[in-house]
Amino acid sequence: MTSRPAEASSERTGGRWNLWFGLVVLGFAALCLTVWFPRDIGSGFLQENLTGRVVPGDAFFPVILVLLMVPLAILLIFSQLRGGTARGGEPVGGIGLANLAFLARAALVTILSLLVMNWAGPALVGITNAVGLTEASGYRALSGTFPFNVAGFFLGATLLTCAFLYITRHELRPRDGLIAASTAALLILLFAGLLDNVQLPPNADL
Amino acid sequence: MDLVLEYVGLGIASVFQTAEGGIWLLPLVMVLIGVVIGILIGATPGMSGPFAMAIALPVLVSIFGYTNEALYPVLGCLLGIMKGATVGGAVPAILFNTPGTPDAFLTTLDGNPMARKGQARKAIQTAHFSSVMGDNFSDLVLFIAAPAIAIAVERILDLPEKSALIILSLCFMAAVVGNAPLKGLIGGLLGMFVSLVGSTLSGSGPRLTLGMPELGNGLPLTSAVLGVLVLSEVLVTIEDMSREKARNATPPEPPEMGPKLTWAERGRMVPGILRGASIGTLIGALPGIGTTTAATLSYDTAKRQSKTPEAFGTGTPAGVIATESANSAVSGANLIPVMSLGIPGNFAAVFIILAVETIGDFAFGPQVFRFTPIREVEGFGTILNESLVIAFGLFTMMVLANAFNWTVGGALMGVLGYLVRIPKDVVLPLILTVSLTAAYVQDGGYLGLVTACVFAVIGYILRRLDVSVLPFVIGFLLAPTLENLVRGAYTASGGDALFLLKSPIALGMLTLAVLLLARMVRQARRGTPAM
Repeated sequence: MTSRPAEASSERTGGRWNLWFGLVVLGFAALCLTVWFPRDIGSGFLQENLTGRVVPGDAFFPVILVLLMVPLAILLIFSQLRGGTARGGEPVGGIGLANLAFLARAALVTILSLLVMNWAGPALVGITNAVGLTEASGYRALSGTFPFNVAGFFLGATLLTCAFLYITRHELRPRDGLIAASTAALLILLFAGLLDNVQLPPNADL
Repeated sequence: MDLVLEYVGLGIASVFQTAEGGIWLLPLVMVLIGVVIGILIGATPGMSGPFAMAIALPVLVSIFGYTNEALYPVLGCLLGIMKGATVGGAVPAILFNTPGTPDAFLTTLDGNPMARKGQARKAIQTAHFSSVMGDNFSDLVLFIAAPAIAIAVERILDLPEKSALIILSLCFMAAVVGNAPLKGLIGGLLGMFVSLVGSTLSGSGPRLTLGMPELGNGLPLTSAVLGVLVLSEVLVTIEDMSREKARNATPPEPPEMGPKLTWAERGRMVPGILRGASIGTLIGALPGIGTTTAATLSYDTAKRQSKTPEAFGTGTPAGVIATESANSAVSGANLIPVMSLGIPGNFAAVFIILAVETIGDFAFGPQVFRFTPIREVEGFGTILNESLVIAFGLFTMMVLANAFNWTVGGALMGVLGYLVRIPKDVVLPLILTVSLTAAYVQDGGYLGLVTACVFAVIGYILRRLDVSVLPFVIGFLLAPTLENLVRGAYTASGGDALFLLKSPIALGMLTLAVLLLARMVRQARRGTPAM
């Protein structure tokens, strides 16, 4: 969908990522076969059914999948090592510190927005209780009543959009805030206004 | 033949009639809405048909629910979006040298020079005519090929062969998608593995839940696909735009529109359109090969066969015809493996399959095209293959979408140029918010939202390592089917460890898969792209 600087990253990181990718897959396969599967799958690779016939157990297909990953990972590593240079092997991109920093920033603004989404409704109930406008026992009691039911989503969704707009263009104009708020309002109109069988965040998790 | 016509008639009627026999126009309206949305989305920077389908699916399911009655309105809208988007992408490509969708990139080569020569209207109408004709052509092939392939598969292939076919498809897809086939295949296996989390087969309880009871019902399918396909792409694009720190330049004023396309000119285009559409249909029927390959191949073929190859790239209508007819023909042909085998070949097909898996009890696959004799049985009502009626209902909705593309699409094409002014850096954060909301709403709360986020990170990592996400998603969707087939084949063989190698057809398919794998390894050693 978009053009990405794949070539640049390939040259930057070379084929080391092929080795890492292959080694991680091998490690994952070993972990699955020795620790995860034995503890987290109820029946084995094969099992005997009520008629005494040997049939595949719940681990049958997962084990086959993981075993198929092993030669592919070895081939990936092998072809990289046979390449001999940093540019040998399959073309590969890379993940650097800048990418991790971006992911951390994206995770942070998403978590913050979700927290606002979660707590703005109860906070509004607390405020209206404090000033005597409502006498609700808590957010749950008013979670089906406008505007309490959508206040959290409105603020959280607006914040989320604005935060990613800022990350994208390094600035935020008043018009951006208006677009973000309008989109949140539109989603509220669609999901909370026109449909009565769906719940916006955080109301499905109360 | 009478039986076929009877089923076709029932399929057409099922789109316009309720079960009680009353008139039902909802599917027709939803197809129209889908086509209009698709055309608008196709012309909007940062958006594409599969993006719009991904966001529309949870919204549509929230509106129409999960019952069988919801199938036509939801699928009608999705099919409309898929088809509409193939038309809309050409307009910004021609007017502003900015393709609205990736497959419209090659249209810029001749479309934009035509516009700069004062033939913008002619270029847009050429793109529209070629695109819709190409789409119609591939739909006709789909209507004939899908039932024929399904019937052949049902007669010839048993459990081991069907298992081998899925394995071969995945290998083929890994080999042709992206430049890293080995990692693509590992991605496909990882996708299959992830889809097993929380699944249950016997009385031993759900598997691989890491002790989390929330995963006991399995991972929310739509949220996972939304995350890995849409959100990860949004994240990668936002990061790239953030690094470039480039502001969207204001697009130039639309060029002079110029004269209309005459009917005589349209007539002369038909051979070129048929050639492009044939290439697009052939390419589209193979899983994993996308519209860009079809358009490139068609453009090269048209150039080679032209008496004036030097005109290509300078603003010849033949270039626009070649690319638009081929890339639009892919959309119908991509549904051939979906409808006949249940194997999705591209992103748009993934969302059609997801819709079918989410709603009602209809499922794609060769069993759909069983022409069960229709008969009345006292006490049981009419005995027939309901799935076949639905399949012909879907074909009917595709024809309706084509009709809307001809009429509404033609009318809308002239005004789409304004959409290029929508800044991409605003569109992407909005897509992110809408997608996360849709994941929460459809998949019952934070489980859906968190799943979408986790899969977005998985997709981000895969994309950054230049591993195509398509095999991962297709593996994710096909795993339950493949597991059932493999287990069934093993049990039927009486516990033979070589159960997949006993049938000559399965052996042939697996040999082909191994040959593909060997080719992948050879290319990996050389560090050259797959195809």
